[in-house]
Amino acid sequence: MMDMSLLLLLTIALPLAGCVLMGAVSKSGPYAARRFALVVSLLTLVGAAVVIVNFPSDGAGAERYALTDVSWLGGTSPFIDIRFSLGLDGLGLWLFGLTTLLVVTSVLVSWNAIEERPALFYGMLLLLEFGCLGVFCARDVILFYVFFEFTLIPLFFLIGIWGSEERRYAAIKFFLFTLAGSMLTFLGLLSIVLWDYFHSGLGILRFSIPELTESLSVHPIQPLYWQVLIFWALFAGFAIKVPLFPLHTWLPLAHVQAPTAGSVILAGILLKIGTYGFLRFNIPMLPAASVHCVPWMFWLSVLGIIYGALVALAQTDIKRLIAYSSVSHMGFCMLGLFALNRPGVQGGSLQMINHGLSTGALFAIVGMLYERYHTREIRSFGGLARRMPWLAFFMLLFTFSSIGLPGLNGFVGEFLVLLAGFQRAWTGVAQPWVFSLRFASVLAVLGVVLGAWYMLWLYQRVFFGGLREPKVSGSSHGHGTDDLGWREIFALTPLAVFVLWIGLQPKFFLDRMAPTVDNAIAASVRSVVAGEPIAARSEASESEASVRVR
Amino acid sequence: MFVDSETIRFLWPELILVLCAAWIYLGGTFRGSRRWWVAFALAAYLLALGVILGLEGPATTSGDRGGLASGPILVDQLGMICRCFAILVGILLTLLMSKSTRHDLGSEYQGTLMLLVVGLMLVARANDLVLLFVSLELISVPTYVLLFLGRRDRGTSEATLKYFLLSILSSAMLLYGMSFLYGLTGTTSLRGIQAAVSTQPSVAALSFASLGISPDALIYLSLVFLVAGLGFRLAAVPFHFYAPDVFQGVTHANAALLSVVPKVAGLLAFTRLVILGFPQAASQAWEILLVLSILTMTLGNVCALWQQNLRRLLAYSSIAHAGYILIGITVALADSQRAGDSQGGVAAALVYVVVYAVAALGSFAVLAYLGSEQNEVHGVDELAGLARTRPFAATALSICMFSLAGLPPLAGFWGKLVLFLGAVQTSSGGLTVQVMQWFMILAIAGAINAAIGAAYYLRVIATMFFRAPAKTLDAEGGDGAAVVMLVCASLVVAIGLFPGIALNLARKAEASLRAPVSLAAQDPDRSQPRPVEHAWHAPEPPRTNL
Repeated sequence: MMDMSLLLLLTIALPLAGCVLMGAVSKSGPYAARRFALVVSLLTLVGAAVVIVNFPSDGAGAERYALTDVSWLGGTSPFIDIRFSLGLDGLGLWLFGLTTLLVVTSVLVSWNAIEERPALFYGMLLLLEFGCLGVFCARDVILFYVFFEFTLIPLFFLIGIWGSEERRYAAIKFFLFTLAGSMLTFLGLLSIVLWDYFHSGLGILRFSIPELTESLSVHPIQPLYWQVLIFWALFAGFAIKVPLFPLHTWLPLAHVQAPTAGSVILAGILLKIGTYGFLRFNIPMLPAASVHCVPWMFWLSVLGIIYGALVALAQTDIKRLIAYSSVSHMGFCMLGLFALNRPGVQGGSLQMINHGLSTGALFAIVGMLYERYHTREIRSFGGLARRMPWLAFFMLLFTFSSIGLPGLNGFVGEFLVLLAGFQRAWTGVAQPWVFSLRFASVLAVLGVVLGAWYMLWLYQRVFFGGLREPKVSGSSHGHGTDDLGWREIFALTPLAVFVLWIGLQPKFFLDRMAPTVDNAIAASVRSVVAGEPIAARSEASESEASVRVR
Repeated sequence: MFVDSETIRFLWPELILVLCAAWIYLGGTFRGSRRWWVAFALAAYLLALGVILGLEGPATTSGDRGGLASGPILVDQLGMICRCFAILVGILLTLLMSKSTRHDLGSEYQGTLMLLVVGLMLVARANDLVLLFVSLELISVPTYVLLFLGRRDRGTSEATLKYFLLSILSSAMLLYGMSFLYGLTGTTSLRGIQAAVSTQPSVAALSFASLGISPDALIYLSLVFLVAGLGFRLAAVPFHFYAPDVFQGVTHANAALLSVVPKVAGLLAFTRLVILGFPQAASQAWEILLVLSILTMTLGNVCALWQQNLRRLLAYSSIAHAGYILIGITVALADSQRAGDSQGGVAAALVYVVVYAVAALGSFAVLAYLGSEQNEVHGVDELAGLARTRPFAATALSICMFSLAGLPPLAGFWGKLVLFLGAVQTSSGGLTVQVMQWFMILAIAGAINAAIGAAYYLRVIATMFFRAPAKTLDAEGGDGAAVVMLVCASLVVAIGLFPGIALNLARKAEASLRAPVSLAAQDPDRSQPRPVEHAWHAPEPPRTNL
């Protein structure tokens, strides 16, 4: 059997190699670039599948699974111990798989849509895949950050070159928004590293994520206000990425302007980097601050859920509607994570995958519609189910998945998240926040209702009723307004399979992440169980702060 | 003696270059071929590099990490690394200027440039106020000539005159600041000043004291003048006013020179003079420099946002990066009172200035390559659609600009990493709460500035990639510029992927800076192993040979 760590490395490096070779390959014919990209992304998918299949089914020993760990800087002075450390554990496992799956879909949906500089396009797509795979495998703070920021560059070009009319503005806004937040995140990460440096007594700047997590559980960051400050610094970058409610303004713009493949990956994977960051850094490394900030995070999530849903209701553009539905759904993920209990974090993590599958697929379907009609206005469509039954079928499936119909994946995630929200709100909360948290967790249910409303309403308007089609002025791609071709069915089927699989057998997915999830929230669970009421803590921290300043 | 044979032995690389420069001046009158003199200059640089690595590499890397003081020069790791870098800059500038000069002036150009490189090399190892000042002037004076040689129109004349006058003024301020130091301590040796300031006041200082003026006040006064003089070279606010106008007025190659060489020299002079020279003042000086740092990077970045002229934009970017370099210096200054291991301020500033220099040289090289002698590239808009017409140049410029913006995995990211690491380290482990709070502000200002800075680099990249080609550029900058652009872009990527070498070298350099210095043996007979017990422990007797 092949060594898993080597296979993991190869799987991550494959898209990069594909991108480098793209220039040479694309010279051999007009369609060489897209075929080559498909081959590379399929190979990557196979590699990822093998790595995931071999993952221990109970998730035990995941910390060392497929681990590659070498010093990055080398040299004689080990003062700065930045490591080139890659491995898969329960948190990154499914996101890793999702990335490889969605890139195949992206390549297939771009098949005919990209006519301008295809080699550069597919090269950037593969580069983006490389960056995302790296993010979910990085076991070193700096390596994580390098991949985290690196993903901006290919997406910047994807939006800026192949986007719609306002693409330049959208690309720059997306880039600057994310960068501004992530610079503060960077400072937060460095503060964590330096806390470890000053308190571990080793005299080395350690950057390894597992080592830091362990060290911070021994020497938690004190006083609380300092931990909370670092929490908000990390929050800046991750929350913009998610995006949480007041920081979401870049998202609809970027989504609407991006080409279909860009939207699929942006919604399916890049948003997850934000929630993944919270799960990887904030919750395990800053447990007391996470507990302290639960009310804030609850309210931001719930506001995002409601606000995203309400704005989605008002949209006239299908793509924009789905973009706002992302804001709403990502709110559910965050709500789950910051319930800080097992069902919540598991549900939140599962919801990341669910959202990636359903929204990724929805964006792909919108792209297919746009390719046929060159418009995305809801008003201009009607009764398409008769003309394109396959497209209507897939749309219905993913719509149901998105609104959480029992039996499909969305139900499992949303159910766990809401359950966990109630559990948090009715147990282990200090006095002044009880009512507030309970109110927030009840409001979150409204999001489910609104979600069903805007999605089903969209479906009804576009696919039911009398046939209404926009005039197609000389389709350049030849397939006019036909139903889905084999290529497109092939792009959507794997996603549909996973939608059903997660819906019917969530245990398969949850078991593999359970131990890692338990570890991630262990520290914060301890600090809740320790029973220090949140309010008392914050007062204590204020008095400490004032002492310090004096 | 001021200079003895031992000192001369350490000066061989510089002497070789000076001799070659003289030969270029002389020979240029007989043989005008530009290519020939470029080749000759390159050979001279490589020879000097070989001499440095071959003769002195073993002497400075082996044994204790502290340097050797020999006459006015100090032989140590910092000097060694920076001289190698100076020669690299020399080689790149030689290539860059290989076509941008008028044909008949090729030899003058190369000779002057070589003298300037020698100046930079001497700054890197000066252990004496006089040598430090003279070598800084050895950079400034050839710079005036080079600026004039580049192009001869009204704009260039104005720019050069502006630079000339302000540079003279800043040199005067620097000299004035140095004169205070000499007056207070009675010595021009930097180590002597350090020892004298920290132990006993000199006669002069005592006489001031009898007038009711504290010697400390004079030290701070001197510090202010030194900061002003060196701040001009770094292009730090408020000594930055010349930069945009001068950059706009001169050729791309000269702008590259202006953005790199004075910065490196200014940083080295800061390191040797302020951080080492007088630690007591240093402990106060960080406050001034911290404020200057925040102002410099904010002003540079914000003003750059609106620039349409590429050289003006890069000038403001160079100001902003001076602000970042000042973060490193500030960390080092705040750090200088602490016992124990350093927080890497000097190392960070060194790494930063190197990655900045490489990326800036690369950017200017692309611009020089894209233009021709008649049509230079001026505006950002002229680059529209470059990704289609000149994909390689566009890629190289994007790599350099992404690096300037500090994006991983390029070199600029590691520069920012080490700087922020130093600032955050001081902010979470400083001596007092006040220090910690100020450095937290500094770190946050740096982070926000990184995002602002990215905006204008992105604008240039977006222009190249997202817009339709407007007009075809000549791209007659010559092979030299093309090579520089390729080398710089590759270096940026290489340092980005394997930062270990650069970071470790910079740390070694900083360690050598703080290590105790031994005196070189005066005995010219080198067959005997030198005794090493001449550790510095007393101030030198006052020198009167000035």
